[in-house]
Amino acid sequence: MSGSADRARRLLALVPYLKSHPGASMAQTAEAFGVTPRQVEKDLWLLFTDCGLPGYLPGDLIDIDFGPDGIWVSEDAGLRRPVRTTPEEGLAVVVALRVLRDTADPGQRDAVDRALAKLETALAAQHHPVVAVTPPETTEHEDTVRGALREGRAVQLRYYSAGRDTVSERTVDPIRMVAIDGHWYLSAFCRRAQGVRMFRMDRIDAATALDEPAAPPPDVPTPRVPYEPRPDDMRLVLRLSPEAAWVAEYYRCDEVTDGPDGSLRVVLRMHDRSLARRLVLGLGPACQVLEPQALAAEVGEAAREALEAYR
Amino acid sequence: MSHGRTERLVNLALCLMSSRRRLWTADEVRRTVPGYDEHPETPAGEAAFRRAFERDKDELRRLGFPLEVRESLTGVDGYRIPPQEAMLPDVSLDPDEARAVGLAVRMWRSGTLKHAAGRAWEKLHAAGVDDIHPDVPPGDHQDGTGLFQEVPVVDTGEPSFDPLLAALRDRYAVSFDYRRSGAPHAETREVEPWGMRAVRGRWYLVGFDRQRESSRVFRLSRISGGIRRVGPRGGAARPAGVNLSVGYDGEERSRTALVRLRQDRAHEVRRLADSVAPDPQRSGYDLARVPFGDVERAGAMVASHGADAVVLEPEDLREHVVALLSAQVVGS
Repeated sequence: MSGSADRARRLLALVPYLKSHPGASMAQTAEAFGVTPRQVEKDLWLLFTDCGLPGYLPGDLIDIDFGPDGIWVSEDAGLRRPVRTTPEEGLAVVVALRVLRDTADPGQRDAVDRALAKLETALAAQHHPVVAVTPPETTEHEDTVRGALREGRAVQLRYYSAGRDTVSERTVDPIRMVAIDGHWYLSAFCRRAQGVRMFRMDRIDAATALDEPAAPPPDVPTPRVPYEPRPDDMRLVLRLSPEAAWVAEYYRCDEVTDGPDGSLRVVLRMHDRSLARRLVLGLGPACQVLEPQALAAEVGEAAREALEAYR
Repeated sequence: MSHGRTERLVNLALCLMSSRRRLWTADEVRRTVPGYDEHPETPAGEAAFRRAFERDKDELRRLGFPLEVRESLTGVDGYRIPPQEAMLPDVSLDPDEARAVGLAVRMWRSGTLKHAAGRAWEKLHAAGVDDIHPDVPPGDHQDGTGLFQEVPVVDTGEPSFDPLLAALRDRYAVSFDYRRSGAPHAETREVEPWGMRAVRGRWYLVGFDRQRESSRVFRLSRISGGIRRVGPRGGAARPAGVNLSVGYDGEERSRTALVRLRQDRAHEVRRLADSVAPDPQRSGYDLARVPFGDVERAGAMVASHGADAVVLEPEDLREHVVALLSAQVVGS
């Protein structure tokens, strides 16, 4: 959408917003639209001086009073309500609410259902493209974790770290459970790591709610995604045969290039060297390490050592 | 950014919605709405006005206005926007319902639907829907209401998501290059899209495959080279009440492998084992009984742990692991 169309969209919503929030302040209005108060003032001037109904006589124009006490619209030129949502806009809300209903605590489902019932009609859901999101599967220790969250209790976890292939015991202060890209995660302050970590729920092997209260430190940074690239990540370049093409889908790759023989050349980043070694070993003839050479040598050595055990 | 166009768009919308005229012809719009009068009354000026008017009409449709075209009394096209249909109907939400909507619109992590959700919220907010805790990001435990500690996050960053969504909306048939799992080359498929579904963070298209004459499921990440529209708008059929189920190939683990594991290693294998006990023959090692179904899948997992996990039984699994490992020795 062009800049002028974007601004026109805001102007068309601004008038009904001020009708439904009479006396709103400049700051409040700016926040509602994600712009600066200065921009709101410019928008109001434009509406006030240049927008109205054909004829464009004083009675046809949009009339707005604004000052330090707030903003009032006295003549709206017919803009009493916001413009109807487009199919994408309606879809984005309705599908999101359906996912929220599927993943919410049972006690909160009712509010979502009521919102859905009202909005499916108002947003004309029957005309939306068919888009659905399957909620993440429930996991074994979900009830324990949810219970601890509700009661504000710390939790003792036995957790499998796939990156390092280790299992560890940790005491954590749960913050919330989140569903990201089809998996449940527990976001919690890990007392051992002294930081907030995302624990994938299906990798929790045991969970016990403790008697002590959860006390996550107030100002710790909270990750919003389970994995963020780090500057010291290793850069891998692999050649993959077609049967290993799933690697390019499973891992976020920086580059994927098609080879003439149906192979793929992929560039990806990995934090754990042991994960990279295991990935390549498990792929066998379907994967060749192009870079780094040290990893190729390490994999070859690990394979040789393993084959000794099969003799 | 052209400031002139902003107010021209607003005034065009107000004009076409107003009851002062039943229909507006292009000429009437040109004479009435400020901003169009900059084009001189010459053939070139006329053409420039027409182009601007067409662009503005498209823009109004994108903003959500139902713009109608009808023949006017003088036989030329006339335009109007029926105000009742153009406006969002009354929405009155209780505070907990509004909170649910305020959180739901933040579910999309990227792409078209993230922006669409933001615009939808702007419209709902303008209609008087207020989130009781708009400043509290979803899930932050400072939200004292106890409502909705969790909000799911869904990504729609696949490059083919947006063109497929547009094709679904306008009922276009599409064709694209698709590489099935394990296939060496992509094949061109022609599909009437029925819908899309995300399962475990991956998007799938469900539709009718015209060459294979039956419904098929396509993983968006295996589509390459873009989405091409085939045939006219509205040319793709969509059966009523389409069931968007996307099968998941859950593995039935009916066989058992005996695997020797180095102590405190190969935890991925240990977690799947029915039993793990110290190996009486060899100190520092355990013996694990691991249920499995697919030799290739189980073999890849065991091989990935190198000397830390060694298959003792059955023979076919053992051979598969040896083959995988041998390939890496040759390759190094």
